[in-house]
Amino acid sequence: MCLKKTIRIIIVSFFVLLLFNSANADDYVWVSSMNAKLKKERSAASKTLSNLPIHTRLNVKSLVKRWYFVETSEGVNGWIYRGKVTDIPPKEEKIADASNNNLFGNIFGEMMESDIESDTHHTDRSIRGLSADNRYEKKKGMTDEGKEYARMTAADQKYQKALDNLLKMNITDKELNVFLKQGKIGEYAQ
Amino acid sequence: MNIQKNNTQKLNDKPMITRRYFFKNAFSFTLASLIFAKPLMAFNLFDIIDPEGKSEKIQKAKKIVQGAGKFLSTSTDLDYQSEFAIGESLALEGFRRYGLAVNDHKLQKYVNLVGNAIALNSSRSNIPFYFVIVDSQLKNAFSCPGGIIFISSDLFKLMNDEAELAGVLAHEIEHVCQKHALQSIQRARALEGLGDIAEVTLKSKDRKNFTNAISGLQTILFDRGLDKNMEYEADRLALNLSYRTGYDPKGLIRVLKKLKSQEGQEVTIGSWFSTHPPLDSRLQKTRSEIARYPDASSMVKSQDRFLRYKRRLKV
Repeated sequence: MCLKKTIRIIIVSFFVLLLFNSANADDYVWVSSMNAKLKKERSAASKTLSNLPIHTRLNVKSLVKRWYFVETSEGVNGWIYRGKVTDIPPKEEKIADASNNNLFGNIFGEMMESDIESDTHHTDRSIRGLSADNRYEKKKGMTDEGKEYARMTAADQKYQKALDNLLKMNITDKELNVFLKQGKIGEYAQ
Repeated sequence: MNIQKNNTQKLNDKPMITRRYFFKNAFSFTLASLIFAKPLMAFNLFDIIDPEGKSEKIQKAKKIVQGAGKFLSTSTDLDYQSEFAIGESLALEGFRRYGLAVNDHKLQKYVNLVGNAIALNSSRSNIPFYFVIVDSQLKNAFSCPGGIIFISSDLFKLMNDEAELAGVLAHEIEHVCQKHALQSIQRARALEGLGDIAEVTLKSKDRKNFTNAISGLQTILFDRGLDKNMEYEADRLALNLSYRTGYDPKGLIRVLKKLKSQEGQEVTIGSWFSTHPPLDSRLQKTRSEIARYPDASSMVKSQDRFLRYKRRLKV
């Protein structure tokens, strides 16, 4: 009788803890895409309240049809498309959390979150060491290293030209937004 | 300082672990070092056995453990510029093996728009991605480290909507994001005792090392293919990436099904059939994963726009 009672308490506690944890996990999301915008309404066409840098933490109030209603740390409320955010904290914060939750602490923390190897997170949403505006510039053709390799290996001119043209291909943010809008993709979906 | 010297002297006079004993138990030592200790401790062990670094065998064993330790702990900590240099060199080989870019600027722009729309939501949205359709009768797509992604004209022709293209590109983008190719070459180098890939550069004395690394990567990317678990992971993450961008994630599954239907009738060497795991297992895994996206069918397929560009390719 006593054993049964103990087992029951353990099971109930387990589910209470599970519920508590999931409720906490759903409270925040983090910006995981470049060019994320906080919108006044649930539409890409509505007024942009703020441009959100990558890693920005947002407090989730609700989720309506692929859009989160969120609050920024400055107290601004607005909508953001779900594809632009993640419910997994950026790596830096994750490691800090891991020391509390992981049986082995920080030493194995990074390895244990991997599916294949240490630095491959559950990356549907992970962000590895990005700083807010750390965006690398587009190349404007073959780099000096590429040219050096081509010279060393006596690569045919036509392959060098093909690579040079590929690296000159430039897609602007404006072109990308027009493309997404025309295709009614993501935040432009109706 | 003196204490250190005295200790070293004592160890040289009467080693705690003899070389014979070490080699007999090398595997156990290596495993134990990797599992239970930091790789640094394993290096100390080698230093105890061979403090002056005279034994080639011990130094090679040290490099193997060093490489494996590096691989297990922080593999592929390569800066972006070095990663791109490797990718650029591989891209040259890609053109040589699979043919030149299809000569249609609008079509190339279209593929770059689809690819960049997806890459913007990837875990490496801070690096530029480049996409190219090459004129090839082999149905294949592959990615070079640093973000250069190839898709063959025949694989493009097999598709019927933009969500399918998005699925394939998302799969390749995820290989770049996870640095799968670099991990593979790091693993191979670690096993051969060649040291860390991060040490490989195009600087004068490392040139041979660099070309060797590129050669190893060519074998992995173009001939042998990546580890099957990396492919499964890229599939799984590609579904999520397509979905988050706004495309129907089932697009990738439809492409796999089409490839499956053509299996046995196609040239396999250098195609997806030879460089990727069996389609049955990929289909099985992706189908079970798609259950996570109950509203997948309501996402964008964008068939009309895709077919307009596909027609350009047929001309």
